[in-house]
Amino acid sequence: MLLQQLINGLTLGAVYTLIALSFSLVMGILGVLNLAIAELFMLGGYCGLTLIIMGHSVWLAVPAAMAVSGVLAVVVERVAYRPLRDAPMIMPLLSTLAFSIIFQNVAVNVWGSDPLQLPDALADARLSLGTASIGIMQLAVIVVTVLLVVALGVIVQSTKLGRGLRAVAENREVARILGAPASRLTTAAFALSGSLAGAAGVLIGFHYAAITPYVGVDTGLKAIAVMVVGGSTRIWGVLIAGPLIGVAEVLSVVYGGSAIRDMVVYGLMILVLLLRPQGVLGGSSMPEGERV
Amino acid sequence: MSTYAAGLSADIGIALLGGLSVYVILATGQLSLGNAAFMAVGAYLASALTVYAGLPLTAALMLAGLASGFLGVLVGFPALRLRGIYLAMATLGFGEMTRSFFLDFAPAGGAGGFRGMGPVSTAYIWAWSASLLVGVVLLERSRLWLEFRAVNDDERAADLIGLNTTAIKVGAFGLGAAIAGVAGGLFAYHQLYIEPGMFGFDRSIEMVLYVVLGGSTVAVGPLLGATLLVLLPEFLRFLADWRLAAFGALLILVLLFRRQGIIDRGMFRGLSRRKWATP
Amino acid sequence: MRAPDSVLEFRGVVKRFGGISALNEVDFVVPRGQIVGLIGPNGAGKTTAFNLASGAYTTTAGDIIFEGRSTIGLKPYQVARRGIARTFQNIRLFRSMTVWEHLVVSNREKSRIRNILPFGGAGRETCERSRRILDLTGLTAFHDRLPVSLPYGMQRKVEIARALASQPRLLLLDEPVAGMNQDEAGELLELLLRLRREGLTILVIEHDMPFVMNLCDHIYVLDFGLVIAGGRPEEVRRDPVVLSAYLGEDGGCSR
Ligand SMILES: Nc1ncnc2c1ncn2[C@@H]1O[C@H](COP(=O)(O)OP(=O)(O)OP(=O)(O)O)[C@@H](O)[C@H]1O
Ligand SMILES: [Mg+2]
Repeated sequence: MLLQQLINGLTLGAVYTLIALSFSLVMGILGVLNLAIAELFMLGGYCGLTLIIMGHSVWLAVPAAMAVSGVLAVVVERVAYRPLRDAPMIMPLLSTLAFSIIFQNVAVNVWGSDPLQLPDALADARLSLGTASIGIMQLAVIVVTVLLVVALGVIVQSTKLGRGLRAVAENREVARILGAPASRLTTAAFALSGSLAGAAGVLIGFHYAAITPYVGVDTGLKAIAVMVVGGSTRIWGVLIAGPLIGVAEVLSVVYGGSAIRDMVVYGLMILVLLLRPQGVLGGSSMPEGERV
Repeated sequence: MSTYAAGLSADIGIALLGGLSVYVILATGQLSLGNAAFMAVGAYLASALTVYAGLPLTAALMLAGLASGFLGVLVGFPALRLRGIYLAMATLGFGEMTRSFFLDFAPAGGAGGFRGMGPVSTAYIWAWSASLLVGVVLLERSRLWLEFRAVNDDERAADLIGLNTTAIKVGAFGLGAAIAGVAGGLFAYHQLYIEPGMFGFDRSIEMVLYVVLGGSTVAVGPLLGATLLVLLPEFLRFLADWRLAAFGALLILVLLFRRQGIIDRGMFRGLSRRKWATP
Repeated sequence: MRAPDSVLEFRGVVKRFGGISALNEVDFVVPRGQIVGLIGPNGAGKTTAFNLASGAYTTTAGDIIFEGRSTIGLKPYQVARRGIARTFQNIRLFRSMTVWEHLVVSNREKSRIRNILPFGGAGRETCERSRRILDLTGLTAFHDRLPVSLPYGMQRKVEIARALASQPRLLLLDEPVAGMNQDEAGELLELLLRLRREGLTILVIEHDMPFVMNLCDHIYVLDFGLVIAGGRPEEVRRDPVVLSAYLGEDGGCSR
């Protein structure tokens, strides 16, 4: 039973990890919270699940969802972020929020507000693992997450694009002055981030065996907490924070105290924000060394 | 006035207070994405004080405002360590924490919510909203408000010319939270029923929108923003199911073409300057 | 107290940023009613000395005495309230405020109530003083302008006006002439001399040598975080140590 819950927790955590990575890509590079990610995630889920219901395989559904969400993320970047990149951070925050309102409305109108269910045959298919068993769909969640994280790792660590992204994340000001091709990198960051969110959407559909237009907000906020707890510009902390919070969530749903759990998660997030004067997050408080 | 119009008008009054609560905090350069939490505290407290303790509503609202304000001061201190988006995320976390707290807090009904509040008149709601609006408008004409703006413009320089930036920022948080607390109490009485889901992230964001759309440099900005945003769904009714999408698109347009909000300080400058220069 | 009536005194002040020592055991005294210059090559530590004196940075070691009391451990606003006002090398005005509002906000009202009274922020006294400062700094005609709409030299004047509005007993000016034209610099010289006659003590950092030489009663020369010379302008001008460290090649004081 406990093992079973751990597996459920891991799959949920895998999804949190992916969305947190999605938030963190844009956050780390631009210092902007792209609130549209929550709904790009939801839309990705709808695209993927629709394909699966039509009988296509996971290997088509996930890339298709990634493509759709990736492209939409670029639209968000062009319309809602780029014209406001010099404005106070509250502006892109709200303009990306505006997009998420639009996306949610579109989803409700296209797919209705009732959940879109995964076919029972798929949702119930299980692979036995001794005392516990793992759903085929859960297995898919973990496999896809691992593949995507590895792919992201390769992109970030050993491609020219990745080096550019890291340089900007390291020090936005310096990178701008040194003339990192900011515009192209920005687009790339949004696209990558969007496609991760899209994939995560399909996976959350697998996890719950259904998707609703409202899955974005709750999961999205949680993922922001995961990003912060894992360290918002360092990508790898999220790999630990995501599964941890996922497992904690599933266990607390089963054994009670889910409200306490949320308080702990967000409390942890606030604590991390407060305790890292600059470190992982960079510039979250006023350093004494600021030139006067 | 039809009950329908009265209902809308009450909504505007409460929304205005929500907007003002964000406005006051934002005036010192701090963005709070957690003001719904202060509203929740005010709502539950005012309701409990009247329903359980039998206090008159006005007294309960005052106490609710004070308690929320006190909580705001408590939140304001750690907030000093954070800036910009990090402060926004931390306040977001605070909002979600508070919501989870009420979900689990049995005496307040937990997820089932809390009821027992009697109806209040729109006039009563507006008596509060209008007086607090006037209060903020007057405050805007005080020297203290210049201190707020100095902190917003350049905190370091403000500190170095002798302004106690800690007190100013924490004070603004407390004042904003107090206004949100009153808004919460009125909201509870207007709705007759409250539950934690009413005080989530959406609500916090809504309050920020009133300010940013209406204008974040003058207190009438939130008034305009609240009015527009409450009435907009009515205007967009003809779009039926696409109302929200249209709203999102409008929001983007305003942000792109009128960053400072619909009203800004420049429109009022002539007026306030003369007052300064002639004592 | 060493000097008969010193307003500001640095005693063995050290400031290190990580590895680098910006100031190394610096001692100097600013006597009351005088204009003292602080000069030295770029990176000598002049602005750092101001930042320490105004409480913007904390000292690594040593003591800073203002009017007989140490200011170590005070927050910047507490130092300012004791009576030290400053300007910034890189202008830091409040972008949303008019010139007049800069003066009002810098002028601390004694009564707390007046602070929150609508329209009452500027009481009669405040208004008169602020008008006089506008007049002195030649900003009267620009009192309702925002900083961005003013030329650079004028913005420097707004900084000085804002500092004066807090009624300081010590004024710290960081390169006040930078960005000003000849006429403006001349006017500023007159203004500072006039303020001194009214009893204000001024410590000024400036690279414009003729300006410093004409203005100051006393000059300290800072180099690599050390006070390498100090004296009356004509003494400093001739000091060989100073010449080699700073004035040597370009003969900055020959004019
Ligand atoms: N906040 C800081 N962090 C790190 N180093 C600093 C800081 N402030 C000053 N320094 C260093 O201290 C040294 C002295 O700087 P300072 O600004 O005091 O020089 P200065 O004499 O004012 O020069 P200038 O004439 O160019 O203004 C320099 O090496 C500078 O890089
Ligand atoms: Mg300097």
